[in-house]
Amino acid sequence: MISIISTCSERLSEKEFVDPLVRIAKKFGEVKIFNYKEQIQKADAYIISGTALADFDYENYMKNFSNLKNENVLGICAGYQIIMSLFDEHLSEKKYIGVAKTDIGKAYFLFSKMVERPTNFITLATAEFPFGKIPVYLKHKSRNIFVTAFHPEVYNVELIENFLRKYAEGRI
Amino acid sequence: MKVAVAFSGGKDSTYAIKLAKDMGYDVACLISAISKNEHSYMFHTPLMSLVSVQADAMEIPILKFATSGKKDVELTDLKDALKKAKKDFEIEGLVTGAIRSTYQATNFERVCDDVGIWCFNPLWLNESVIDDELKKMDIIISAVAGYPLKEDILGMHLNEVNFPEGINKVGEGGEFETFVLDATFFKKRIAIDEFDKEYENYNGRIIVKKFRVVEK
Repeated sequence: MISIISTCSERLSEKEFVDPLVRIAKKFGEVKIFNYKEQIQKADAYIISGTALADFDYENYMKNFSNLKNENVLGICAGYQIIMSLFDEHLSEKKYIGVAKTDIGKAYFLFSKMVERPTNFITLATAEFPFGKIPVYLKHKSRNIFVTAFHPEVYNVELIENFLRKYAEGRI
Repeated sequence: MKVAVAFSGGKDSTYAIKLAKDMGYDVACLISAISKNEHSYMFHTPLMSLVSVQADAMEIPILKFATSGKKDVELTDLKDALKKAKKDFEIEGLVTGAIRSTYQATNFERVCDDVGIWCFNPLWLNESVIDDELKKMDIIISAVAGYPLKEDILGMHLNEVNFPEGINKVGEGGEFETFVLDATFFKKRIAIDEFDKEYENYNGRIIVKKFRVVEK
């Protein structure tokens, strides 16, 4: 089973940030959707969605994510921030809205907090922003935990598909 | 939450209004750019003279703003309109009909961030869902832009058009523009009795000469 965890406090945002992920995930197995306020059930793989730039309510429910530290996880944007916080990485206030070129091609960004110097993660891709070159696609050094500061559902769908193919496909 | 909807008169922004209303948001006003630039990447331009008629048919207030349509200037004009909507209608968010254009989405996001309101793009990457919803609206083709769309589809009802291969009803490639005459949440419907066409080299639009607002 694949668990999609919505970080959206507004239903209109779920249309934008969760529905496209669900459609991609359904090609790889059974999908269950959880909201950040809920207890998250055990799954083979977890995708934590992004949310609107003005939305930070999920920060009040970090305890609901603590069980994911040993799971197969892809954290997107707000999901990236949640994962980085779980591993005590330092998030600094950096904002970028729009398309930028990364080492794996163009990507669509919508973020307001970034980790500039990760300690527990290895960098898989970086991007050049007006405020400097920053890791934007990372993997935990020893766990199957991936994060993207961008929204791969826009230009990098294969990144999500590869994650699900490896950790969820064919499992019941 | 009180929201404004960036309204062009076409199917996508109309569907965005419906989604917001169905989810319980208070659509406090529509915001429409009346652009002098027919080639604006940001705003739709055909039949913008009739957006007030649509707003009346929906019984939703509309805030129209004029813009030269020059890049950057149109964004400053949008920002000013949103500030006015925030003050006059107490909106906390803007809902848009952006589906696939990162140019549009980026600009809406940036302007909303500057004004200090939420930005919602509920149609984003959701083309497959929109297709079903279009059957429930009365929509006409208001403009075509580029090969191979011919003059005969101008003014036709969207559901009656057989599009050439490679073009679909969602039209997110910008091949055509639409105008909504009726939708489930409209209080009245619009009937167009007479229109002219301007068409040359696969680019064209309709000019409405006579219309009526009809009770439902």
